[in-house]
Amino acid sequence: MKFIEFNNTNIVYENIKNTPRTAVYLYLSSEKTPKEGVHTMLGNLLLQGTSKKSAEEIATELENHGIEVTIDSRADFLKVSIICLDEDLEFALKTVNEIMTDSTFETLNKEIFKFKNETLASMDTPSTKASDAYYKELFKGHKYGITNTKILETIDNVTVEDIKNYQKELLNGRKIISVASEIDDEDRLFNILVQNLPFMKKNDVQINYCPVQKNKGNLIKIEKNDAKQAQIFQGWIVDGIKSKDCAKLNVLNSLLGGAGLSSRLFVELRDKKGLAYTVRSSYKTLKDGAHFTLYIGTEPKNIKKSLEGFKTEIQRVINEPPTDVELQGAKENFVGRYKYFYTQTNAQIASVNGWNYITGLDFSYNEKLLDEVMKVTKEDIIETVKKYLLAEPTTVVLAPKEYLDF
Amino acid sequence: MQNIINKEEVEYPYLSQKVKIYTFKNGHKLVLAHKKSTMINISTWVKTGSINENDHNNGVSHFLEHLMFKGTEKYKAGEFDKTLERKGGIINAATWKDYTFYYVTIPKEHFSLALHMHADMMINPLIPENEIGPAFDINSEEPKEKRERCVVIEEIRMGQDANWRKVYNALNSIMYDKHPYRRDVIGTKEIISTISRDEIFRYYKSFYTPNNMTTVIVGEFDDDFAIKSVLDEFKFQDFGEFNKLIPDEQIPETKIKNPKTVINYAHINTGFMMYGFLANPPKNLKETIALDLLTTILGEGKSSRLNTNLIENVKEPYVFGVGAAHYQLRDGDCFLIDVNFDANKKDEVIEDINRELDKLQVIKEEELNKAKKFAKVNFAQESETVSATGELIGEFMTVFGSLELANQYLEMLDEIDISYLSQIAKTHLSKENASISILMPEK
Repeated sequence: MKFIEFNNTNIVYENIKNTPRTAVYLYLSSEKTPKEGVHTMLGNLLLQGTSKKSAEEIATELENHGIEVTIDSRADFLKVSIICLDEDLEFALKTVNEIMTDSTFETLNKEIFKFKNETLASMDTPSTKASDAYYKELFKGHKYGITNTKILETIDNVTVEDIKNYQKELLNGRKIISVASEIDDEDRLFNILVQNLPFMKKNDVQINYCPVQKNKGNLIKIEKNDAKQAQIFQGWIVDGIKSKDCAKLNVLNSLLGGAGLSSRLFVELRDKKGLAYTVRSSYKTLKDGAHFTLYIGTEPKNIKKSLEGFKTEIQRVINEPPTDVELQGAKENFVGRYKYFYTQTNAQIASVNGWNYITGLDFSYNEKLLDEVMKVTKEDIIETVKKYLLAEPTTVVLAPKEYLDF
Repeated sequence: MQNIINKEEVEYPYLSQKVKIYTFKNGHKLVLAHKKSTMINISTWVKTGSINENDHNNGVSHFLEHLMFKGTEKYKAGEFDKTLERKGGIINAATWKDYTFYYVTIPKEHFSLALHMHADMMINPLIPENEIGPAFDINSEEPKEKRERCVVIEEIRMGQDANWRKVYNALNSIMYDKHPYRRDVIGTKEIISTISRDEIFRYYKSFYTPNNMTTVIVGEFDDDFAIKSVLDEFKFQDFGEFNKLIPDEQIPETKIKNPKTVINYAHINTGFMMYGFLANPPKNLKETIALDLLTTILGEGKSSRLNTNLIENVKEPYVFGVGAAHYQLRDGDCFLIDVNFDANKKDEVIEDINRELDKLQVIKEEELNKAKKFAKVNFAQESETVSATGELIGEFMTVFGSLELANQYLEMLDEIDISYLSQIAKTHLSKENASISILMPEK
């Protein structure tokens, strides 16, 4: 991995042999939070036409070359991912430059119309409906709580001017090009990148952190009368990437419910009690915070038993802490899953490197995290559970009405 | 090695070394594919799935897949998962209409252990009663003990809440006349709650035979060591004489005999619709490639015809999502069009799709070129990781029947022209040939 400032542009590069497709990830962030919906709409509109080309023409040009361009409006940044065969790289970058600097946003009203209907359609999936309510409640008052249904409330107030102003903010914000490719002529590659993506020139922008405040917990019940399964999300706001607890929370997650078929929740609630097909925990880190979440999809009559099961397993980490073998296994599981999900493809590698920069981490963050994970002790795990998971959780339960009386 | 009765070497797209296929005396096949990676992928593909089921045991292939993880003489239930996941392994399995496969992807230094445990699981499963859980009548009683039977029933419930799955299952039941593909892979709650251990084990003995299995290894390893290890570890049991399960008749259906429309209802806000068509088996490589290309032209990506004409070029679109998909199945391909739409516009959506199907017989050169590029890029994408490579190899070995077809795919792609594509569209994708499944909001 190499981080370089090349012609006034920040580039992070990894040379990966024998990979036919190059991945270029552009990360852009702004310290200013726009009004609700603007960030999402900008992402949706960037492929909808420039002053010279219609949405259809752009899509056709890209797809004729088998180029994947995806715009992803995450709460902390805008991510533009470009994945293509090496031979199509220059063409792909030129098109992205046009999209990023010459989009007209003329179809805003249509995109709002589409967004409303797509959100309505997505709420037909019970787990999506429950998770939308969960994140809205967990991160209430913070930008991480601006889910699609929250955006719906004020989407009609978004104007083209809002979008253009926010785009300017992003272009003047923190930026990086992250590339993973088998192209090993660095100079040629860097020249192609900076010449075709002039809008990615760096700005001296300091990163600010506004940590998410912990909440008091709450229970939300959602009726869905024909649901065959109850959807249960339960979780806490916990410390994230900048915290010394990050490694501990990752190991706790592997131990409790993130390890696949052998984690405690899986063995106890699925294998031994037959309560669910899907039961898991997750620890998700964002720039300004993180959450630790438990999930189960279960027959509605099992809601109480499942919630008790969550509580029991959390308490059991304290009462029956992991043995040395179990703890070592949880750590190695984390390392293996990290390798599997983040180091296998050019897209994964470019994504991780870019994310590290845009969230203010150094490029050796992951290696350090893996080292820290290996140092986590049994006492750390107990302390972490006590610190975070004994507090009142935020819980969302979706089920038919007759099962919500608990 | 004297156990090897055949060795083939085939070129494979985007792999620098030829892939080697060994056939052992007992019929078990081993595929070795070299790819630089920190991980190694081991999978065993069994040529059985819901295709070998009947109305009485529908779901047994999938239930057995769950139970294969429930221990052997050497390793009790949970040991396999625990041991390999604690080494950083990703383990799982999947059951489909034509196959069931089991895989481990693990840091390469644990290759020997992973192969040892994987082979043990494949050939020595205990399928213990206490892990299955007692049988019960799901419509009138609670299970005495909730074990794996109940886990699978929860998985069935999960599917009943998944709108697309409901639409797809309803479509399968009207597309096929007799073929076992008409059944849902996961089976029914009634069958899963009552099927006995004996029936499940009889199914295992009938279909998990060496000549029905292909083991695929992808990553960095020594060939001789891999071959020797597989021969040493896969010591198949001899079950002697027993009453083998005879699958239902499997006469390929390559065209829907009586196209129908079915409408179901649920508590939803929007409508879900799926068009289904049948075609020839994928060993007819040129035809299956043509259907892949038609999938791209019609419904893959933002510039596809369906997305452009039903969403992007409409001022206030009543279609919220649309796409096409092509499933390669051993006894005949299946082509699907899926639409999520404003439930008040059902008739308009049907008109729109029918119009697009009529127009599909005229294809532009640039559309064909785009679709060909897509196909090449898809191959590149599916060779990026050891697990994706293993999966594609396994699919070619079991569904297509030959790995050579993977390389021929890219060569034959260039032979396909507009007139051939139009002919395939006309033969297989005319609106008169379609069955339609619709899920609507309850009135």
